[in-house]
Amino acid sequence: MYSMKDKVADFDSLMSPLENDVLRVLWPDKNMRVREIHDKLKSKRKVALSSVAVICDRLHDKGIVARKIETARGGVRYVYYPMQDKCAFEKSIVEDTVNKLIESFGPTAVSYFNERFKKR
Amino acid sequence: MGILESAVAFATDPGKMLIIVVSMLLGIAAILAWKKYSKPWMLYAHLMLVLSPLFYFALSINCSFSLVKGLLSWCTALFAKFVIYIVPPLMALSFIGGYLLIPRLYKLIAKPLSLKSFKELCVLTGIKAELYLVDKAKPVAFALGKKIFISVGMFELLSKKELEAVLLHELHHVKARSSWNKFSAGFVRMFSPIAWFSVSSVEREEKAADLFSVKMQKNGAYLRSAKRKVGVF
Repeated sequence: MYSMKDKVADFDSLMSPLENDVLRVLWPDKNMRVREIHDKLKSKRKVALSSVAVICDRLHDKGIVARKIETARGGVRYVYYPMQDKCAFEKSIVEDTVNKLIESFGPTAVSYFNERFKKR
Repeated sequence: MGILESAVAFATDPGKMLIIVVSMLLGIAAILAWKKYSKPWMLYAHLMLVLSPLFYFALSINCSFSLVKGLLSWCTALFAKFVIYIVPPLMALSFIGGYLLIPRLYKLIAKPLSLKSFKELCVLTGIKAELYLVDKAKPVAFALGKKIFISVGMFELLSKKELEAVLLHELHHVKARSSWNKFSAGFVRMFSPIAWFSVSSVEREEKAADLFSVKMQKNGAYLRSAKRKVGVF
């Protein structure tokens, strides 16, 4: 059996790696501008500012992050913040997945869960 | 006199035919002139010159359905009725809808933005315009009448100088009334088949706006890099 520890908070199958990275930066720091997110990511991987902007917009469309318009001296910009903290987000993913399994396979899924959790 | 007889009488009258041919030729000349000078009034002149023969024909024949004998008569009467009763209201509706409604719809998703650098650009170029902010991460900017719409994404991606280049480009559109020309072209194309074949002068206006921006900044690099950044998104 694989170790559960390695698999914690790995959303690669659900989201693109870059979306993943943006969320990891956004969770601890909360309110951030695209430029700030970009600055943090830049040290880890080679990524363009416009790509970060696209990813933030996509996460916003998916309802994972929210944003507000901030007016600064030189113009305007978005400030992004996560809708849920990391734990709540993970929980909602697990919940969605389990619900989907039960919806598609009904009794088979339920009896599998029973078996599985008895063993542990 | 039946429908077909009156139609044939109309078609064989040399005086009337001459009027129609001249009107059509002038209409084609008007669209060619628009291609060269891109003045919207030429488009409307084209539309009137091309459509007036149709109205002339429809009003000249006896287009009452009670006179219908055979399929050809029926088609002619239907066409004449369509030209007289459907086309004018359709034109009025689409004109009003396009000219009055579209800017108002855009104002729903945008709100006024006061920006010091934009005001300075207005003073510098002597062009009066209002700036509106669109709540979108995708970088877009466009001019509609005297209003310039710009998205939040533009501010996020572009540097100050690049933004200035984009705003200058849009200010030129305001000065050249590009949106009016673009709208007119779309409107006329709805009703004139000849206009479908004319290449629009919209592209040339884009080039003129670019040129204006580069000339004002005395540097083409900012506009180029702005375009590259926007294109990537």
